[in-house]
Amino acid sequence: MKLELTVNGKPCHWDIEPGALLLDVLREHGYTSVKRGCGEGVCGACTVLVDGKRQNSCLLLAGQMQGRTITTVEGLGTIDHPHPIQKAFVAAGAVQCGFCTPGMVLATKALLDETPEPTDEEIRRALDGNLCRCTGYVKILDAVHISVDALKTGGQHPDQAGRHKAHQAIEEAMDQATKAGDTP
Amino acid sequence: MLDQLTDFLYPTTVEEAVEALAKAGGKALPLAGGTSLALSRNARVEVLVDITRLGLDRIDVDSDRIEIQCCATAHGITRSSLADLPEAGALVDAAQVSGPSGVRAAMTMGGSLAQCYPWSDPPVALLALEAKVEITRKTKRTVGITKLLEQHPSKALTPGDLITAIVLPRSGGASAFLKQGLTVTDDALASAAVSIRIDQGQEHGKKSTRRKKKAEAPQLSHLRVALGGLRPLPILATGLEDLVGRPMDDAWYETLADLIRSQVRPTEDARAPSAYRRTVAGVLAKRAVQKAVERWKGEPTPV
Ligand SMILES: Cc1cc2nc3c(=O)[nH]c(=O)nc-3n(C[C@H](O)[C@H](O)[C@H](O)COP(=O)(O)OP(=O)(O)OC[C@H]3O[C@@H](n4cnc5c(N)ncnc54)[C@H](O)[C@@H]3O)c2cc1C
Ligand code: FES
Ligand code: FES
Repeated sequence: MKLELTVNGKPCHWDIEPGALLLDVLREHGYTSVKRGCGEGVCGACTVLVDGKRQNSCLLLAGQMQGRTITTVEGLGTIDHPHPIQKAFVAAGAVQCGFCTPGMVLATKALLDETPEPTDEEIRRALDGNLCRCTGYVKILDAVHISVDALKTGGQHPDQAGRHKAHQAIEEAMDQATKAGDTP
Repeated sequence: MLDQLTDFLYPTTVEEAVEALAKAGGKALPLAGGTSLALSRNARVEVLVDITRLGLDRIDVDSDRIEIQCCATAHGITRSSLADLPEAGALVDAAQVSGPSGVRAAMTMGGSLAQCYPWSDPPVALLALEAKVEITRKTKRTVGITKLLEQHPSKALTPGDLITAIVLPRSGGASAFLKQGLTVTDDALASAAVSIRIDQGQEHGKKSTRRKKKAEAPQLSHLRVALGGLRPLPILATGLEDLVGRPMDDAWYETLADLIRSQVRPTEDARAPSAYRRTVAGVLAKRAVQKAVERWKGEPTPV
């Protein structure tokens, strides 16, 4: 069947199998930032934005996308000009193997578009469908906080001065411990 | 994969949608969030009728009813004005934990009810809230949730039927939902939804502030408890009449838990033995009433 949709601003006319999943169709067309993790809606590695809302592309039939607008990480920023949320993930050290990262970044984008200054609880809930097997999540939460600050200041690069309070607290505690002579 | 699927239809009005469903007979299904259908292997489905373009995703709160249209998503419920309404608390709680965030963003209330898995959360809340389900084919009919859930909704719905809205009566009370799984959003091993109204009878004739009323030990004038995750379909607890109008002390809550435990015969499977589910159901019912009372008093009630 014929599918007409917009991906990262580009109009697309694709021939697809009616039963095909959006995840597979996107990857076949080169959008390989969209990852297959669990394939059943649990891990969020396949997250895309559909008309601005987060969706698991492994739980969508491509046919549902007729006339819709999709954003993947490829459309969010470039290597030379990353999106402030992407920069925030780097600044926070929230990327290790990187498999979960496209989904995390898009889920963060959807959250902050809807709730520009979320509470910790709101962040946890919004990301409870994005699993990361590397980072332990603390730095991912930091990255979301840094994103909030960066987006508030018009997408300024979140430099040292703009780092999240959690980092500052850790650094202060480390300083104090060093002064007290009880570093490990 | 839906191997026999050949076509998608994208109606923009309810009339077009029901006509398309009727025309295709049993070979067509409505497609809402797709969180179940996308991975389905239903070999009979040849046509999917996408119902997400009918403009049926509103949630309207009026003085005498709350109308939730079929394509309102779980995420939409948690962000709607229902989140500030103590009486709708059970549905908001249920929507907040109906699977991981990516699923909640897509799954719809109509789809949740039509699919109704043993662990599904919103149907349990809807049963406690005495929802009425509006079903449309050529004409509209309304079926009470208790009746709809006497058998699996897919049996009650004939091919061509579309759940178009779910209507909750305004109760003026409070409600809450809790579930037990391995994680907050895991499939429920057991769940409980309660809807209560607080009896303010003692105050009759006296002038007293709402704050003062709320400080006193409450008594209920209405209690309805629905249980999920225990049997193939949500269950409505019975025999709770004696608890209404009695002071809600510790013994009251223990009696409630005992009544729940003594009437359920939960399924046993690889995830949990029956006895575990039975015990947990009693505890959840008790805690859900406590949560609803706190909600009625205006206290914060984290999920
Ligand atoms: C990983 C995962 C975890 C989940 N965890 C939970 C959980 O913990 N709790 C929970 O409650 N749910 C959970 N769900 C969601 C649940 O299992 C169903 O997938 C969901 O409720 C289906 O809703 P949908 O809108 O996506 O329906 P669809 O997949 O679009 O449709 C499902 C069925 O309903 C029919 N249908 C849809 N809308 C209508 C309508 N308006 N009228 C008539 N028939 C209709 C369809 O024809 C189809 O047969 C989870 C899902 C996944 C994938
Ligand atoms: S691959 Fe889609 S949620 Fe895991
Ligand atoms: S960085 Fe490896 S899974 Fe998250």
